[in-house]
Amino acid sequence: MNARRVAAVVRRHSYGFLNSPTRIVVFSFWPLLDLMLWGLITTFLRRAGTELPVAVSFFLGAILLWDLVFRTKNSVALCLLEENYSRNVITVMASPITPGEYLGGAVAFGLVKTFVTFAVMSVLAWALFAFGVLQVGAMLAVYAAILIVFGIALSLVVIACVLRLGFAADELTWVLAAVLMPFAAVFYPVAALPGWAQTVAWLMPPAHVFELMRADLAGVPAEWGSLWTAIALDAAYLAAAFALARAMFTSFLRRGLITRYM
Amino acid sequence: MTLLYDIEARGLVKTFRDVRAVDGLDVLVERGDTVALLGPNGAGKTTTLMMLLGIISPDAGSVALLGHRLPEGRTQALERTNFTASYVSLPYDLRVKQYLWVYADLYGAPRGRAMETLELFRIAHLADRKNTELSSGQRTLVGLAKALLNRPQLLVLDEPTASLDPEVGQDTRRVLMEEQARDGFTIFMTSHNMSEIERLCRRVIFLAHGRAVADGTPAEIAARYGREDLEGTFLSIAEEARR
Repeated sequence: MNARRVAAVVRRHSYGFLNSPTRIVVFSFWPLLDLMLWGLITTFLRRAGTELPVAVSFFLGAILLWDLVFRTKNSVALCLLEENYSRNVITVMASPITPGEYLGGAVAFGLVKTFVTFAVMSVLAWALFAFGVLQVGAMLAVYAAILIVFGIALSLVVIACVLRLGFAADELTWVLAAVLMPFAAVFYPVAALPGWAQTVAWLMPPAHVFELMRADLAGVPAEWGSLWTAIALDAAYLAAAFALARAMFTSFLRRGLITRYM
Repeated sequence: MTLLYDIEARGLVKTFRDVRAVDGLDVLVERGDTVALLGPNGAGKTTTLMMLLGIISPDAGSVALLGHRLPEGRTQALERTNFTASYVSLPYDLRVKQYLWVYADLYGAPRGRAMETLELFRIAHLADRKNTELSSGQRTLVGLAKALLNRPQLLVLDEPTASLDPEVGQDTRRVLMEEQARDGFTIFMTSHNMSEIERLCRRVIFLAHGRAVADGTPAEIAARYGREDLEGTFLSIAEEARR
C-alpha cells in the first residue's frame, strides 16, 4: 500500500468537491433538511406531550446516526462514479495504483465527508433543538463505527455493480440505502415491522444499533448479545462485499469492460 | 548479445463473446525503439494496448513490461510507464494543474513536473483552467503532458494527435522526439495518421483480425506490398483483410 497514491485519491476528490459550489450546497442541504424535519417533529411531539414508549429526542439521534450509513455509502461509492461520469476510469486504471489503494483513498475521503457532516449536524441539533448527541452515551463511538462499516460494505456493493454494469448502476448508489432503511428500524422499534420484515431486520447491523440506542436513551441496560451480533454481521457483510467487489473487478478485466470508456 | 525488450508479449489471445479480437499475437519492442501498431478499425489494436497495460486480461499468452511480468509486476511496470489516448477524457471538476498534481502523486513524480510538462507543450497558460473549459485539442495536450510527468521509460499512446490541428500535431511530434532523444524512452503507439507514423516510427506492426500480418520498417513493408508509402500499404492490407 503506497501512502502517496492513497493520498492522491483523497486529493483528487477533495479538489473536485471544493471546486464545485453546487456540490458543497447539495452536500450541506440534505443533512440540514433531514435535521430540520426531524427536529421540528420532535419539537411538536414534545409540546403536544405525546406519550411514546421511547424518549422523543430519539428521532434526532436516529437521523444523525442513520446519516452515517447513508453518507459513508454515498461518499465512497461516488469516488468511482465521478471517474465513471468523467470517462476517466481508463486513466486511473492505466496508472500504477492498485485497487486496494484506490479503495483506501475512497474510504478515507468518504470518512472525512461523513465526519464533517456528523459534526456539523450534531452541533446544529444541539443549538437548534437542544439535543446533545452525547446523550446516546458511552457507546456512541461503537454504534457509529458499526454503522460506518455497514456504509462501507454498501459502497462496495455499489462499486461492484458500477464495475459490472457501468452507468446502468448509477441509480443504485442513491437507492440502496433507501431500500434498506425501512428494515433498519431507524425511527421505530423492530417489533413495529411485520413478522417477515422483522426477520430481515435482525439480519441488519443498523437494526441492532437503533434498538440499542433506543434502550440507552430510555435508560434501559444494553443487551450485549445484540451488540456482538451487530459486530459479527458487520464483519460478515464487509467480507462478502469485499469479495463481491474483487470478483467484479476480475470480471471487469476478463470481459474487457474498459471498452465502455473509449 | 541479449536484447532488452520493454514490451514482451507472447501468444496473446482475447475473445469477446464469439469475436476473436486478438489471435495469437506476439509483440516484442526493444528498449528505446518507436513502434506503431496499425490496422483497420476492429483489427485488435486497442484491445492489445489494454492487455499490455493490464486493463484487459488476455485469455491466453503472457505480457512482461519493462521486465515485469503481468499481472504480478503491474504496479512496478506502470510506475515507469505512461499512457494517453485521444478518447481519454479528463475529470471535469478539476483544474489542469490539480489533475497533473494528482497524477504526479500517482506516478511518484515531483509535482513541479506538472508545470514543466505543460511548458513542453506550450500550454502552461492553461494551468488554472478547469478541464471543462478546454477544447478537445487542449485536453489532448494535457493528456500528453500527464503522460510525460514521470519521465516514463515506456510511453504507450493510442491515437495521440487525433484531435490536433496539423501545426500543433507537428509541434507535438517534435516534443515527443526531442524528449525521447534526451530520455531514451520507448514509444509504442497506434495512429490512423500514416504520415505521422512514417515520421515518428522506426518499425510498424500491421494487424488484421487480431493477427500480425506485416512487421518491419515502414519502407520495408511498403516495398513488400508494392506501395510507395504507408497510406497505400494500409489500404492494401485493409482490402486483403476484407476478403
